[in-house]
Amino acid sequence: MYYIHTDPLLNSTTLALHDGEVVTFFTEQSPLHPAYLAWVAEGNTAEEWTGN
Amino acid sequence: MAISSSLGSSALLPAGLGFRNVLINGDMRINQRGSSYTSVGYTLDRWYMGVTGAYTVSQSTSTPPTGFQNFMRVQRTSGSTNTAVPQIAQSLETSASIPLQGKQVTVSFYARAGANYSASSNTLNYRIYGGTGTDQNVFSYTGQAIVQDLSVTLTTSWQRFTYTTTALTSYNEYGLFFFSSPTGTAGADDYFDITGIQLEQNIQPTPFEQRPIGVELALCQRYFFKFVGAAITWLSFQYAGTQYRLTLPHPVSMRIAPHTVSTSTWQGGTTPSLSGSSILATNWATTGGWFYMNEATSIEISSEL
Repeated sequence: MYYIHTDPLLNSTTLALHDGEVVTFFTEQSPLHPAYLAWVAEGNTAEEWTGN
Repeated sequence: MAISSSLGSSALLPAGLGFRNVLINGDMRINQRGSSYTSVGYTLDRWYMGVTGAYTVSQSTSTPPTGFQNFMRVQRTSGSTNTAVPQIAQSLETSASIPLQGKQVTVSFYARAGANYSASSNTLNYRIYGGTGTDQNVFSYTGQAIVQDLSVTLTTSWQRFTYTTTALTSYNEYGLFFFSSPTGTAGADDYFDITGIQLEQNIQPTPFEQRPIGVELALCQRYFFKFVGAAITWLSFQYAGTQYRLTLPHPVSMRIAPHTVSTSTWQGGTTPSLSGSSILATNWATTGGWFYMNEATSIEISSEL
């Protein structure tokens, strides 16, 4: 599942893939980004990460 | 005495005397990510596998060629009828590719086949690809073109293969690519082994360049590095109430700002978050909170092509 992580002080965001206990943060340059775009194209939307 | 005189007819000055090999980890010594790999992505440092299913890439130390400690094994799963083409490649970034434009280059490598290697005529193919983009992975080059397309015949003994190309045409990025074409049902030893891969600007091959392992590791860590919990020294401070900002000093400057950072849940239960180049540990009390990484916890940071 994809989430958006926000830094409240900097107000910056990072995309993250949560897969079991592993969290992978990535940018548009990551090889993971095309899979994220495909996931979005299927009508999905990443939710805001709200903590543990 | 001039260097060329002291070396006599074996002088290979067009190549220079050091850092001849533009490939990194050609002798497969560095393997930061794990032990074996079965899906598309990076495997041993800097080497990318382009296929998922029925193949395992691993680092091995079992009977390497003389003068080497490691090699890469690309093994088809015994009993598999999957004949997808296993591909192993290293992509050169543009800053390493442009100096090769218009030059003759020589590829050399050591390879052998398993007893049940199923490729027709025991063939192993290799190609040099060119691309017109900048700093891309060879599997997704813009304007991808085959610059050289060659094959060799493997046996179950190590052989060194070399080939010198005509002058490379003017692409902005080059990648070296190996693949085989398996057939039928895989036996127990349907694999090829490879190491000592060198790509040098030269009119003939020179011996494989043995760089100090610390140098080779640093070259690899410019693209990827992995911290294991017990080996980390953090710079940390309380950030915003219940958050702590943790900063990892990189062992070397990365090629670009990391585009992929992966970590597992830490001891104490927190899930870290990322902000810029720092990691935020969230939802901790301002006093009395705790979290740490142990040997089972790692952080992988990638700026790979």
